Amino acid sequence: MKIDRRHLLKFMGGSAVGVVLSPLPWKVVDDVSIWTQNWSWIPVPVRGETIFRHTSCALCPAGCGLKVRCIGAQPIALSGLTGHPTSHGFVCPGGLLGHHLPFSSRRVTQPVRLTKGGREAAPLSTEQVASDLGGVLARLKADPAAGRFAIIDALPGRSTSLAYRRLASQFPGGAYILPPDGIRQSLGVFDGVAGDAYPELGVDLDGARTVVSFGADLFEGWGTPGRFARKPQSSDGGPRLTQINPRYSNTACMADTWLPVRPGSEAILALGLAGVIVKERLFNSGLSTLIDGLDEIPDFRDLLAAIPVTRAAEVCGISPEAVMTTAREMGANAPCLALLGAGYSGGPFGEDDRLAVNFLNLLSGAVGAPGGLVPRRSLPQMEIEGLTGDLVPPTDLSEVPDGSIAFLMIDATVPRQAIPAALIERKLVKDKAVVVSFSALEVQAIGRSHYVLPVPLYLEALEEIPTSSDSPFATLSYSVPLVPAPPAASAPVEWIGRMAPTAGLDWAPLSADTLNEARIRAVWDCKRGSVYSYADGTTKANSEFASAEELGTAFKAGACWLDSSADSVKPDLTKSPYFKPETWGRLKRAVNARIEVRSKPSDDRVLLMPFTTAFLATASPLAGKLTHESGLYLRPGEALMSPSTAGRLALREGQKAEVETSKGRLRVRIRLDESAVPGTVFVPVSETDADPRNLCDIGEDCIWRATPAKLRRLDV
Amino acid sequence: MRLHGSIAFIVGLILMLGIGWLVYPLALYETTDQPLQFSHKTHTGEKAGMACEDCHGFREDGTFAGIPRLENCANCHSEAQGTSAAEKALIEKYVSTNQEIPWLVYSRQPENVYFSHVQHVKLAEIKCERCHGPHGTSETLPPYQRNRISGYSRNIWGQSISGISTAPWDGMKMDDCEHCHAERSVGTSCMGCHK
Repeated sequence: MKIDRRHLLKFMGGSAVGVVLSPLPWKVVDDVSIWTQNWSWIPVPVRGETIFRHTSCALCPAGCGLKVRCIGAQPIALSGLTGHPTSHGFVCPGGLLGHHLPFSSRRVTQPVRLTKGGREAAPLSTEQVASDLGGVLARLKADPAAGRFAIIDALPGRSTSLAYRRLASQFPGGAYILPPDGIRQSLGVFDGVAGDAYPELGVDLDGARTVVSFGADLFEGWGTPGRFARKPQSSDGGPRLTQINPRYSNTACMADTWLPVRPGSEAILALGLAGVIVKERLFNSGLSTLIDGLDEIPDFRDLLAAIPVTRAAEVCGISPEAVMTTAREMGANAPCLALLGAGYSGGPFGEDDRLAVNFLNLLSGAVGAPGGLVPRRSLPQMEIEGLTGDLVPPTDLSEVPDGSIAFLMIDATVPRQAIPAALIERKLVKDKAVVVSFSALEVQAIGRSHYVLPVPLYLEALEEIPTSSDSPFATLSYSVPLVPAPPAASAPVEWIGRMAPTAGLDWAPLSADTLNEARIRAVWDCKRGSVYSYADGTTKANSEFASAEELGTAFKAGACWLDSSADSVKPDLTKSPYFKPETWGRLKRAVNARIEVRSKPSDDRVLLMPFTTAFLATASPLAGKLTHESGLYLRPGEALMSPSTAGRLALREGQKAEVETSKGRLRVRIRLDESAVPGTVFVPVSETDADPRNLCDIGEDCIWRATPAKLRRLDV
Repeated sequence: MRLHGSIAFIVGLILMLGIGWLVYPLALYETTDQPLQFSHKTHTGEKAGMACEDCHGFREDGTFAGIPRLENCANCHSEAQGTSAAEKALIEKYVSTNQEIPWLVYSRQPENVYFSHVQHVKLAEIKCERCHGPHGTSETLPPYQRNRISGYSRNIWGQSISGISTAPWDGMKMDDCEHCHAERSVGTSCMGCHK
């Protein structure tokens, strides 16, 4: 038989059919796909015994308790601790995936000098960077006219914070700057009302029956995640929540009532509610004398008279019935809390909003009462050699003059949403300032930095977690090291110690360990409060620990210290700003200005509002993929607006558009949803050039919540 | 001519069917003997009367201990319990030198899979045999067949190259897990196993 081309083709045809009818191709595909998971350069957990460790999450001050599943000493899964006294077993998405961070492609492993706006990075040796920066600091110390030294502390209240204040004290005009913190700044209205022993107020969410939240994203990262997340599981439904927010956020979705207010009208709504409460005498009966006394202030009388329910409702874009119902609920269902929200994205509310909203707390008797704003002590003061003497007081960025900072250190060890780069730049001496960031990740916090110095990441070092701004009592916990840090990573105080000789600083050698030991000793010395152990769920009085070392051992095994409560403290409300006539004059002017703006509608303008949640979901590649692909969150470069506003501007779903403000332009893709109030465009904060905060007008008070903008179609 | 063409087609067909069904499995798996022969039957039978959990037990915190460590074996085998070659090797190579026995685990899963024995055995009361078959009564340990491409045991895919299970315990792939969950009306979610 002669074999020709036809036979060969038939043979190949038969072979092809045979292959398809055999398991060979399918098995090869399966095996190869598994083989690709086992490439040597793909990091995989080591094989080993499964053990459980306990720690606290250090990604934010909430300090949620965590159970860590480790295999061969490698953390591979985190979960919440059900019995934890403040987090109650809840952990935010960022906290659940915190063990992914050491593997981030954006991990900073050695000192770098950034040039060309951060687009180029040149690695430096530890010695070189310490010498360079020490030299710059020495020149600044010798020539104060060149500008001031300043440091921004991402997580105030730590023992490291004391070291920062000591450092700033060594420079004429040195500033220790607190980051924007909506909760701290809001509660600051009542600072000092409970006396020197209780300088701060915390939030007793657990005892509240009604919560009126002005943008506080209680289910999405406001304060300690677990404190309100329990609400849906409560047998009685938990506190009644009224969410006042221009966007149907996830918290608004979970709330009992959502009031979609126009951005910027929150203070007017708060004063409208206050007017109803005062007029119908729904305020706490024990405060009658005080509240009646306010009538003596002309501006107070004029202000409430100028905002009747109908006027407040009209300006805020909600119905008068909704205002009346909310006010009456606040009066009838005590204890009632009024909370002011906003995180780092939309930025904190301004002073006028804080005063207006917190007046509701005063009226409802929430200040100093269980279920309201309760006095709390600070963390026990620690004594440590080298950190004594006069220290500069903490200050807000708004109090630092523009163009005055010649050397700025940014503690970005806690990778939270950053202050807008434009705001930082405004405070710097133009073209001459040096910006140094302590950071473990190439995140937005280090944008515009000239030097980035690597620090240990969460789970790589013993990290102190001070009291969260919302906590009703002082707390302290530690995140324990479970994985090794890169060799070049050092604690910020150790970096400063390396610069000190060249800089000529009066600086005693300090290490993170020394600071932690001093803090633990201070807590042990105070003998107050109790310590909750994560491993066995038991609580032991602080006074029962035989030594500070024993307490330290407990912290390192997973524990948190809780200060005793201050039930017997009665605040003096007359020390609050509401009994000063100038407060009402200020509020009257602010409200009149806002009503005037509302009365001039514009057809082609919208309000640009940046937003995000406080969760660090995008820090983990897995979480970033899930949140983006699920469509639960807007992606960078997308813009959310209502269909009615889109119709007015001739925009449709998916269309490309450009947002323009006085600060610049940003290309976006339009997403339409009824969850946005009309007249507003919401753009998610991004770590890319698509960050809408670069377009915001940042006021003298460093507030960047909403900015007038124009929207223009691009694909026409 | 047409007949010759058909023959060529059939030859190609049969050849590739043979390669796919018979030759490929032989080439795919490399066979390795366990470092030591071990009779589960001797240990679980009347002679020793042990249960699975006596060696493959749970720790106090609920985690599964997996393959027993040498110290478990040495509890009884600090001295030779017989005269077999395996017994001699156990004592001389491992017990007396205190070296762990490098067992080859038939059921080892990829690193991205999390399987909780305590949830399945204690909570769902599933018998060991449901996944491991009659392994606990076997006289000898079968050779370990390692997939040359994926690197995992043949027991994960199942004995048949077709992937069709011949018994409930034949195969430990995700499909098998999902099938069992569906049978018991237990939900499945990605993060349940891929933590």
